[in-house]
This record gives sequence, structure tokens and C-alpha cells, in this order.
Amino acid sequence: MKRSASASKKKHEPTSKKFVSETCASELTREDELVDDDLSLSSESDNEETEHLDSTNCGLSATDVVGGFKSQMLDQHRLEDLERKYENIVSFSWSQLHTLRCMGRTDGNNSQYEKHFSTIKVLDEVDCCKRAIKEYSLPQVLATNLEERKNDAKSEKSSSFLTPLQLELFSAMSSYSDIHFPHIDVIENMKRIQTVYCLHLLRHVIKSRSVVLKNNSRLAKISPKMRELATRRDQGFVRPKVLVLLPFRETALQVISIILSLLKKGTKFEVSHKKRFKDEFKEQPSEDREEDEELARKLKTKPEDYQVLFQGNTDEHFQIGIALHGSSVRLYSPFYSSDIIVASPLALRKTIGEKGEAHYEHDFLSSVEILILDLSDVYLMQNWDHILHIKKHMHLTPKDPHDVDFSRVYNWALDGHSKHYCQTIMLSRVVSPQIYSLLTKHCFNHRGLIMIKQINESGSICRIPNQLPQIFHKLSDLKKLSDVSEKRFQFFISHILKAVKTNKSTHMMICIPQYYDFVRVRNHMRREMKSGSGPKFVFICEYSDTKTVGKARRSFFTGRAPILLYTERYHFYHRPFIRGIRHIVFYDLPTYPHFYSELCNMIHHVKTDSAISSVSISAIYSSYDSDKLAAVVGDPRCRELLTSKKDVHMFVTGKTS
Amino acid sequence: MECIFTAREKIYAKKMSEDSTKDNTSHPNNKEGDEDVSELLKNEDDVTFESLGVTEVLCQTCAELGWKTPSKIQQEAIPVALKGNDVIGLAETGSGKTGAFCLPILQALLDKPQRLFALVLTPTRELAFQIEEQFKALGSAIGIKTSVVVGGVDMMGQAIILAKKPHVIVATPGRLVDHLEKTKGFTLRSLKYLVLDEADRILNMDFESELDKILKVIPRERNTFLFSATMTGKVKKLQRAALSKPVKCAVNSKYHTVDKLLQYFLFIPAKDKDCYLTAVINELAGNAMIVFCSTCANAQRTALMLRNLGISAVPLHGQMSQPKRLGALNKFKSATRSILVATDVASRGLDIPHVDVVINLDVPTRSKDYIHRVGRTARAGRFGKAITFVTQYDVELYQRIEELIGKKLPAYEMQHDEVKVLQERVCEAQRFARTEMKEQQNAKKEKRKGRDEISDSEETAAFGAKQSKLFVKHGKGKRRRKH
Repeated sequence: MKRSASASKKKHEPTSKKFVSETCASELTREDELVDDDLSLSSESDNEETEHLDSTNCGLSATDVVGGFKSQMLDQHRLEDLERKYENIVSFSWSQLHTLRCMGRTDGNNSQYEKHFSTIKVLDEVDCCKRAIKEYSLPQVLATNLEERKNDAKSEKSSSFLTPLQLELFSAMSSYSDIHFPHIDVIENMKRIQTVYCLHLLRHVIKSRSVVLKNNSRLAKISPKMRELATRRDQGFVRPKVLVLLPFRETALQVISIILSLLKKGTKFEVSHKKRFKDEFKEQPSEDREEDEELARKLKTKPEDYQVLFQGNTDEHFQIGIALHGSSVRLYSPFYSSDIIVASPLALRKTIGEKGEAHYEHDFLSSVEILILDLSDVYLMQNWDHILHIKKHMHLTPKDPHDVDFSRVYNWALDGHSKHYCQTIMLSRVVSPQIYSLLTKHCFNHRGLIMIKQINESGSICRIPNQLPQIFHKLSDLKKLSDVSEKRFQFFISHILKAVKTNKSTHMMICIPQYYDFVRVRNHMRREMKSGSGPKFVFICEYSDTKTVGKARRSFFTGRAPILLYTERYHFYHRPFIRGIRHIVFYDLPTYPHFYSELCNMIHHVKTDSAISSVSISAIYSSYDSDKLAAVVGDPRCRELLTSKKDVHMFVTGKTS
Repeated sequence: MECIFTAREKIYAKKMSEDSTKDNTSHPNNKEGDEDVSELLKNEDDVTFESLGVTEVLCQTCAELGWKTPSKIQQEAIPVALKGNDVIGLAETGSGKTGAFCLPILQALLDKPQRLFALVLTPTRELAFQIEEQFKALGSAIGIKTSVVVGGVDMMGQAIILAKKPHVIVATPGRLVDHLEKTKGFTLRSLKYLVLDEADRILNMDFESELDKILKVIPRERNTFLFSATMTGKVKKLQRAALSKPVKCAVNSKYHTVDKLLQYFLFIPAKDKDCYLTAVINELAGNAMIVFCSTCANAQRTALMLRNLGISAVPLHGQMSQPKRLGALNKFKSATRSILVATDVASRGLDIPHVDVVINLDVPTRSKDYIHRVGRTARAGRFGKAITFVTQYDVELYQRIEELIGKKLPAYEMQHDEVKVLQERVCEAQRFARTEMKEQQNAKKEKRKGRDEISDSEETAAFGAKQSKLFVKHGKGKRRRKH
């Protein structure tokens, strides 16, 4: 057991291993707290558990894997598609961000990355704050505020203001490549990363603004005739340069507060409409005070990441323009006279409108130079179409001049190349095919793309402390992606539903991430139930109201309805603790890996010694789900699952007694 | 100049004798014929672009374009312009005016490269595109950027093109003023050359106020070229306002048609006009022809009739939309259609090099229009033919034309009994054309009614009434106009 663990340690750099195990441990303890009170795991027991899992893993590799597999099998699998577009890929290994995969869109030389990233060495004991100010020539305002923040931080005896991780991310952002960072943790690092991108976008806005002002004064000095000949091209068609998409009003409040705190400048600093902003973005108290308290109390019982994400004002419809003028900041400025637009996808989509509608407006998106999508996984749960709609309407040639001075517009903007000069910063908690496709198909940054991948050795499966057998079924013989949903459905009916019918199993939850799959399965089961051949079932989806949800949960708990159909989106928005689960079927692996362990941990109430046979977990996966699978079972095991010749694998978590 | 003139006349005579021996219907566009002429010119005439002071690069481009020798106006205007003088060019149409101002501008641009260098103002959109093409062709070797600013196109797109600061802008005055007023960051303060092409027509089209506005915002220290077919009072006024110490380059002070143009008249009864038209087209088949009519309706009807007879004709008149007009012109230019049936819209300025025959189906009411019409053919050193149909009603008009050009034209020879044979088929085609016209009108009416209720339908009704009167009055294929 120990040998295998140490072997895997050797593969990766010691620092990275440390990082992974640390986060894993902290998450584990968190998870445990919310799952059950009497189960308290020390970090030691946590270690034991991982090792145990490693042992099962070892057994698997001994029997199933024939021959050796390539170390980077998983990545290659995914990158094959990317490589068609990105001809040249270089990897950098960084201490905090781990693997940086830089993909150039231009010719075969990677010198741009090497030049940029060779200046940053692995940072440990360096004063990151000073370094950021020095190497990235931060504007004066930002530098002083950063220093002040640092002093504050010191007095509070917390860690230094800019962590090495932040500095590394800042350095990657300042290369102006597209960035994909899929390791946001709402509790750990969300605020820090928000600070980093605020710093980056403010630096961009202030610098480009100062260039414009400098040119203005220069042009004012020379004669009108010379002015004609002097070409100073320093702006886009419209003023908005930065678009920040955020999921909730609360997150917008946080981000804008960070922006304001970074811009603070002595006593002269003025923020217009600050009161209106605070009123509109803070939590809206309802008329009934008791109801509020009830809600607050309920929120406390939820998992911690849910508490952080859904605290405050969770309205998904907001947009606000921010204009920077010298020493003052104007909130709620009209879009065409603001530098930064902070909006939710829904609100922005409504502002854009649809082609053919009376209101159809996309000019304000024509000159966006930095697009930031924070918490982009939440948009997968909200509505991803909005993001695509927005992306499609960015960088189009405007319909009206909007009073722009054409002699100052960038040549590349005139030529319609704006989309190649836009940096997309994609921050998310999980990796997902939708996010990949947005980055590879809808982003055209000429400076290429940096994908950051941290090694995930344990996966969320390690956060299940109980003894649970988990069976993973692989869908084989897949020719193309479009076959998957059909195959999955057939497999579900022929294997799992059939077994349910013969075993007469009860207390079974079927977890379906996609709504369309859910509808298909529900309709099928409804037909069977009506004809008398299928079992009784209830369902909970994102469109069910509280009353039916309550009813469904009750009849599932009592066993009147042996089967519960459940969607991931409902779980995302409500995170209930569903009682009475004995069997779980994952129709597809969940988008959020921690939902896997969370749902599995709901089984806990069944007595452990006799129940080993009466509880079961099965999951269906295909070779197209490699990302989701890796997040659930960890990278090394995922590699084995995908490459092994057998279609069924079993893991047993928990202590062996 | 005198000696050149005589030299040219000699060549003309030679060519004439060759021509008479050659098959009349052969396409004069073929290369051998062309080269023969230029060979002759070379021997007789040692004036080249180089001798006019044009630099090597541009000479090469000229040679690549097939411009072997400069035309008369070019010979006169280019040396003057290269010295930096303002030029007034009074030249017959089709005489290479565009080249006369293109080359000096390009050469000045080569000496001192600068963006927004020259502005060319023309009266019509078609002309603007044509001049731009010339600039592009001549400047292809030196990487010149040109743009056209005309109405009927999206303002924003044009603003973007102007923001890229082309070297040469070819514009119609109305839209250019629009941009000068509305497009921020677009000025012409650094302009060095201004060209007023077809100045008489610009002024006739009521572009006077726009022209004034433009003259106010461009610098006074500039070179100005003014080209005009006629020297009217208005043009003289403009000359005083816009030019300083101009040199006048008049190739012919009186109205003259180009030497290489063979002009004929055909005296026929008005009722047989269509028959004779068909016969003439048949006889000259294979040539590119423009048939001029006096009204839009007649142009449309004639085109339809010819199509019914299986002749590929395309109409061009003011009742067509801008894209359709451009489309029709392109079809004709690219020789997919060999016959263009047009009103006086096409009578001026359009340079379609391969027009071989101009037929005046209706005698032009204004005699000056005749000059412009026949100016469409025999361009740039080619030979051309012009046939004017004269009916019993047009004798007086025709005589006025003869007086203006100072020539007595020979009659066009035709076998009259052969024409009669065609009558039956032509009558049928006329009938078809009439019904088609009516259908088109009805379709238009309904479409317009749907769009905006009263104002437009009145207009159409008026137009329709005018046309139907025309048809009722001259039913059974007879069609004429009283003047």
C-alpha cells in the first residue's frame, strides 16, 4: 500500500503533491462536517482512507491493465481536437498553478510564451506585492492601494496580500493570452482571484486611458493641418473595454467593491451613485422578517460552498456600467460612456435582443478587449445559451458611429479584426466540454490560449468515508459523440432498469445531470408504470414546485415510491439532504464532482455492518466523459478506467473492517 | 498639336480603307486590329507617356494596361499638370480624360506619399466607380488605396473605409458633404489635389451648395483640375472660385465628335422603327451596342421586345434601383449581354471600352445629348459606329444636330425589302412586350401599395397613366414621340 502511494508521489513534483493533498484534506474535513456530526475525521484518518483507495486501485491495475499506458493519456485524448486548431503547444510547470499549457494560434514559434514566462521564476519567499508593482509597471493608484492593503494585511497578521498563486495568475493574465483556470474554490481562493483580475483589468483600463489622454494633449499642441497627418490610433469604436460577466448580484457587489477599493485615492476620490448601488445590490429584505430569519437559518444548514455562493442577493438579472474619470468613478454610467461593464448573462442578453426584434443592439460589445467570465460553471446551471448569444454579438462592426473619432480608431478594429485582440479569462470551478468549446471555437485571441491544469490525484471519491461499493459501467463501442445519449439510454434500460425490476430494489435514487435525459427517462418509466410492467417512481427536477418536492421526498423516504428521479440542477440550486437513499444510479457523472461524494454520503444512515449488500452505487460513463470521470475518481484511476479492456470496475471506499 | 492632328487623320484614313475591305460585322475588339493601329501610331507619332514626363513605373503600368500612346487631352494636360499648374480640360467624351488627371496625381503621390491626397468629384455613382477602377488599375504597381463615397450605401461602412485614410477618394458631392459633417475625425485639411470631373453636369444636378461646402473645408493651397465637356456660365463661375491661374487645355473648342466615329442616319417611317432596329441589330450582330431611347418606359419596352426576339438585351434607366443599375451595367461590361437599352442616364461619362455601335432609336431632344450619346463608342482610339433613326417627325431635331456638329452625315445603307420580311415577327414580339410591361407595372403597384399607402401609389398611378396613354395612342406597334 505504502509503496504505491510513494511511487505516485515520485511522479510529480513534491510541491504539487503537497498542494493537492492539502486542499484535499481541507475539503474533506469540510465535507465531513456537513455530512454528519458524529463522524469526525482527523487528517490522519483521511490519509489512511486515501491509501486504502490506492490499494483498491492497485488491485485494479494488476488485473486489468495490460501493458503500460502513456503518462499523459488523458490529456492527449482531449487535446487531439485542440491541436487541429492550435498547432504549437508548450507546457510550463509552475509552483502554484502547476501545469500551464500554452497554445499558440500563430506560426510554429513559441517565443512569445518563452519570453514572457521565463522572466517569472518559481516564487516562494519573494515579496509578491513588490514584484507585481515592479515587473508589471502598475499604475500609481493601484500600486499605492496595493501597498496599503498589504500593510493592513500585515497588521491583521494574515498571510501577505498577494500570494504566490495570485502573482503567477497575474503574470499569466498580463501576457494577454486567453486563460482557462478551472480551479476556483469559492471558499479558498475566489476572492483572491477576483482581486487579481480586478487588478489586471484596472491596469488595462487606466493604461489605455492614459495613452488616449497623452495623445489628446499632444494633438492639441500641433496645428490642425499637422494633426491630419499625425496618426494616433489608440481606441476602439466604442468606449467599453472590459466586460465582466458574473452570476449573481452578490458577486457583482464583491467585485465592484474590490475595484473601488483598488481605485481609492485619498480624500479626493468620489464615487457617484454609490448609495443606489449599495441599495440595489445588497440583500433585499422581504416584508416578512421572520421569513428572512427562516431563510438565513436554512442557509446555515447547507454545505459551505453553497452558503458562500448563495449568500446575499442572488438575483440573476443586473447590469451596470462603470466609468473611470481621473480621480472619480461613476457607477451606472450609460454603456457607451463607460469603461467597464459588469453584467449577468441574462441581463446582457436581454439588452442585446434578438435579430429581428425592435430592440437589437450590440454596438457596445464591439470593442471589448478583456472579457472575464467568473464562476462560468454557474452559467452552465443558469443558461449557457446566453453566453453563446453574447459571444456571437461581440466584436461585430457597429451599426452607428456613436460619435467616435474615426481618425483615432485602431487599424485592426477598422479591418474587423477586433475579435483577435480580445483576451478571454475563463474562471470556473470545474472543467466542462462547453467551456472548452467556447474557448476553442468562439475565442480568437491571436496570442493563443493558456490552460491551467492542476493535478488531481484523489478525486472526490476520496471524500466518502463510509464503506460503499461503487460500480462504474463503461459504455463501449462508441463511434461518435452523438451516439452517446442513445447508447446511455439503451444501457440504462437494458442493464440497470432490468436489474431494478428483478431485484425489486427500493430506495433508489437515479441522478440525471441533463434535463433532456431526465425527460426521456421519466417518460419511459411513466409509460412502463402505466402499463404495469415498471416500478412506481417519483421525480424531482428544477421545475418542480416545493409542494411536489415535499411529497416526492416523503413517499421516497417511506418507500411507497421505490425510485426517485433527480436532476443535478435541482441539487445545485437547493442542495437538500435527501433521506432514505440506499441505492444511487448516476445516469451520467455529475458536472460538479463534489455532488458525487455529497450524494453518496447521504446513504450513511443505513447501518454499516449488515448493509454492505443492501447499498450500492453505480455510475455510467463513456470515453467522452474523461474530464468528469477524472474529477470524480482522480487522474491516475481515470486513466486506468479509460484504457482498461473491461467495462465494469468496482471501487470500495471506507475502512476495511 | 497641329502635326499630331494631321498624323492622326492620316491613320484614320488608312484605317478607313482597311475597314471597308474588312468584313463589317467582325468584332473590332479583337487584338490584332488593335495592335495594327497602335503600330501605325508608333511609327507616325513619337509622343509617348515618357516624353510627356510620366515616370517609369507609371509608364510600365500604362503599357501593361495596353495604353500605348497618350490621347490628345492627355498629351495636352499631363505636362501642364506635372508642372503643378491648375488645369481646365475641355475635352470630348471618351478621350481619356480620366487618365489625364490620374497620371499626374499618381506621380505627385509618388514624389510625396501622403494619405488623403486627392479628391475626385463626379456627378454620378456609376462614374465614381469607374474612375476608382482607373485609379486602382494605374496605381496597382504602387499600392494605392482608393475608396468610393457615394449615396445609396451604408454610412457606417463608408466611415470605416474613410477612417483607413485612402490616398484617393472618388465621391459624389452629396454623400461627401454628409461625411464631412457627420463623421467625426474625417477631414480633408491635408488634401493636395482636387478634381472636378464633368463639372458642367455636377452644377446642372444642383450640387452647387455641396460644392461650396466642400471648397470651404479643403485647403486653398492645392492643385485643381476641372474637366468639363462644355464651358457653361456656371462652370466659368466655378473656375473663378476654385482655380488659380489655370491653364486651359481644350482639345476642341467647338462641339466635335471623335474622328474615328462613323456616323450615319437612317430615315424611316415612325411605324417601322422596331422593324429597322431589329434589322440593324441583326446586321451588326456580334458587336456590343447601346440603344438610346428617350423615356424609361420605352427603354424597358424595347429591351423586353428584343428579348422576345431572342436578342440578349439589358435595360438601364432611371426607374431602376441602384443595385439593378450597377448589375445591368456590369452584365453589359462583362459582355454577357451584348445590347444595352438605355435612356440618357447612360449617355455621359460611362466608359465601356468595347462599345462598337450606338443606335439612337429616338433622336435626342437636346442636341448636346447627341454628342454625349455617340461619345460612348469610338473611345480610347477604337473605331465606332453611330446610327440615328430619323422619322418624319424628327427632321427638324436632326437638322439641329447636324448644325451643331457641323457635318452632313451619310445615310445608312439598308435593304428595305429585307426589313419588311421581319415585320410579322417583330409585331408579335411587340405584343408580348406590352403585356409583360403591364404585368410588371401591376406587380409594382401592388408591392408599393402594400408598403406605404397613399403617397407612392399616386406617383405610380401618374407614371402608369403616362405610359398607358403612350400605348393606347400608338397601339399596334407604332410608337413615336412628338417633340
